[in-house]
Amino acid sequence: MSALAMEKEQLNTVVLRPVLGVPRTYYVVMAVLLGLVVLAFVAWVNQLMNGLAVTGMWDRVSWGLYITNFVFFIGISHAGTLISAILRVTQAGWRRPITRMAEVITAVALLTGAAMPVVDLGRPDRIPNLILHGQIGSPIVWDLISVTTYLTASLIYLYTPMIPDLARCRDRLRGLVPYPQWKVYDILSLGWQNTPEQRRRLSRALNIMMILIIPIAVSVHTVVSWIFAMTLRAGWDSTIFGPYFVVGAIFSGTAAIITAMAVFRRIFHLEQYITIKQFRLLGYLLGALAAIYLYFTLAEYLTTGYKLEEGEKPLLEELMLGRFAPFFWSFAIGGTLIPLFLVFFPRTQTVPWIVAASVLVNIGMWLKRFVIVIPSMGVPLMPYEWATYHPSWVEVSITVGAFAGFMLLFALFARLFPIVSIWEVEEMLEEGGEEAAEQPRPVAAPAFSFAEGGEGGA
Amino acid sequence: MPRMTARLFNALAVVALASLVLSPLTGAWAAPASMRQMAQVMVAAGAPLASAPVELTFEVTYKGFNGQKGTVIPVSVGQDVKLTFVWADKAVPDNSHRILIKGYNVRTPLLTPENPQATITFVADKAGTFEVACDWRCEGHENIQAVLRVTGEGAAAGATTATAITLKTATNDEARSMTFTATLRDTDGSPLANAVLLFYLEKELAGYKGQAEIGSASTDKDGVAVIEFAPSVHGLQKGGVRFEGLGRYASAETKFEVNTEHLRNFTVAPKGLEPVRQWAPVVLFMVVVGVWLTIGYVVFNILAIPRGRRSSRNPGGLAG
Repeated sequence: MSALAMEKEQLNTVVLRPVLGVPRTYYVVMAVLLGLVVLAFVAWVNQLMNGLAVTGMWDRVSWGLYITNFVFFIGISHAGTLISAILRVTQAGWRRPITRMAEVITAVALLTGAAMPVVDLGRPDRIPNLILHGQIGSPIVWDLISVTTYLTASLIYLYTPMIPDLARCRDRLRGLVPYPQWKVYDILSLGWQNTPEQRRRLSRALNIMMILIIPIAVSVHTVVSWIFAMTLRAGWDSTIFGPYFVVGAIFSGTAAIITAMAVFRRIFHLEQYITIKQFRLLGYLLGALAAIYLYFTLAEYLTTGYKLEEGEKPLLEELMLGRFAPFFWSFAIGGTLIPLFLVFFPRTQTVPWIVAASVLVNIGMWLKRFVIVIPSMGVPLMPYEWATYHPSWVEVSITVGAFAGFMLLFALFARLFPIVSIWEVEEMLEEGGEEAAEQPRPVAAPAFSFAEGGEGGA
Repeated sequence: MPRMTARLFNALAVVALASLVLSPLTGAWAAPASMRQMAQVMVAAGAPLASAPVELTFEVTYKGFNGQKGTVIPVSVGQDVKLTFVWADKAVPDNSHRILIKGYNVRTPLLTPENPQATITFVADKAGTFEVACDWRCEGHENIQAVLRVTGEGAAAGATTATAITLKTATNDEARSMTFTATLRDTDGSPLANAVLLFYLEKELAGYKGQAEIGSASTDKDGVAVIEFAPSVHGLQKGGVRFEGLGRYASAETKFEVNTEHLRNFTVAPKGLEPVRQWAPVVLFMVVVGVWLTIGYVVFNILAIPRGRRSSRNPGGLAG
């Protein structure tokens, strides 16, 4: 057996190992996540039975944690667009071991995010009214169209490059996994035999999707931002909200994929395929996006702060110095400045620090969405006091459940399907050259350690 | 009883004047001198008190009317009122004034050292208290205030004379603006002077229709009021000229339509987004359909994969 064949075999073994079996801790984690999801479901049923009165929202603050979560999850769904589509279009070879994860994040985050407005509606039975009586001039209808399109496109974009790997599961795992699971591989692989005609069809579909999904993703977060920017409210009445949100989405999506990479790299022992190179290059992207996002933030708040229009003034005071200052400055410093330093400072260009930066970005960007949504709703439009908002246990439970559901779906996917695109990494190995040379050769029983990863490893 | 007598007399007087094809006889509307003489003759012949004209003269300074603030001018409903204002602000030589009687909507021209005197004449046809004040930004502005107190009931009711407005529009030199020339006449064709004409455009904002004032002007002795109109929007403009009515004169209104396509040098977006807006849903629909058709083509290719099974195998490329 040639060295290349051995490498391929090792790749298949490592990547398909989770499909064959996982340690007991996996089930423990799944049980905890499932418990949180069930708790959220109970809270939602409570809300359905008693109405939105069980939340902290009221007539003046009608958007709370649900819409914050919606914007956050739609944001991190851009991971797939950036890592997979853009890097695929630009033929960045180092993307190959992580494209699948990015695409899964996109699909799972979209499913979770799309559920949030449904929860926020209070009366899900009225959702058909959006279609039956929707006004084309309403940003809510635009949102419905764009999110639906993006969800469909991202599911197709996740599925299309999976077909060869599903065929591999069909061929290799027969008798090794329960029959229903194998049957799923059989059906979903669409009879893939790697014939020229099949490759032509698959390539065509993939080439179209990787280009098409980019403008769709941009449109989605632009439209999400327009839900705010099309209103004459202090803090939302902005012309740069479209690009501001898109950059923010790609920023948080990049952070999400770095975090996911670290988790799966450790759990599934993927150190030889997901190396310091992926972390460092994604770290650079994260840093660049942090700088761009900081620039947008400065442009947004400096221009409004310089004019201090009526309404904007009290809002900025609350954001910068008042009740929301801890959230705002946590985002500004902890969510952008510190990660920017971590990913560009040579001594912190290690896996643990880059992962720490990505976690900080994730937390910071959630806080950013919170300070976008809540304070603007509290600004009095009439000579009243500020409207206050305190999330109830129902909203907190559903929020925790949403994050748990996101992780649960992700973990479930990783248990059932190859989390690394085997055929793409094989292509990388076959091509050899610089890209492949930078990947470490397979070694027996690779073990992950943050210290080791931090040394470089590439 | 005296009130009824006054009403009867007024009615008879109007009928008599109308039969002589004469306009209502006040100097305010620049009626011919012969008519004013006729009215004065009638008053002199012993008209009831309610119809006796009130003629007053005020010197206007920064201290107020005749040097004081808060003068009260008592009149009765139906009386002819003739108020003469004389600029006397010698202590503040560059001070100017323009006196407005709110509620009656009559005002003097600007009083300056060069144009020191003006008279406004009207019929006190509605009871109430009306502010007489300067509406020009001037020194001592807050002092130049008086009150016209009209008591009694509407003796002039039913005695109004119809009016009509004719309008001419012209494009100015270099096609930068338009001039609207409106002429106000009564039913006899006599011009009415010192009447304020309001020019407006019919506008719609957020579903609400209304009249947006584009200017107002007082008629001259020939009953002519002129404004210059520099539109900010291209296309067909609908609007009107309105006279609110005054004393014995009924209100009048004339609608107009002008096309401003030929004008140029606008200071704002010439056409607005109206021509584009109607296509926005169509464009959105086409984009969405285009995206979904592309997705459909992708799905078609994916579903065609099973049909390629019988072709020759190739281990290269997409590994299987």
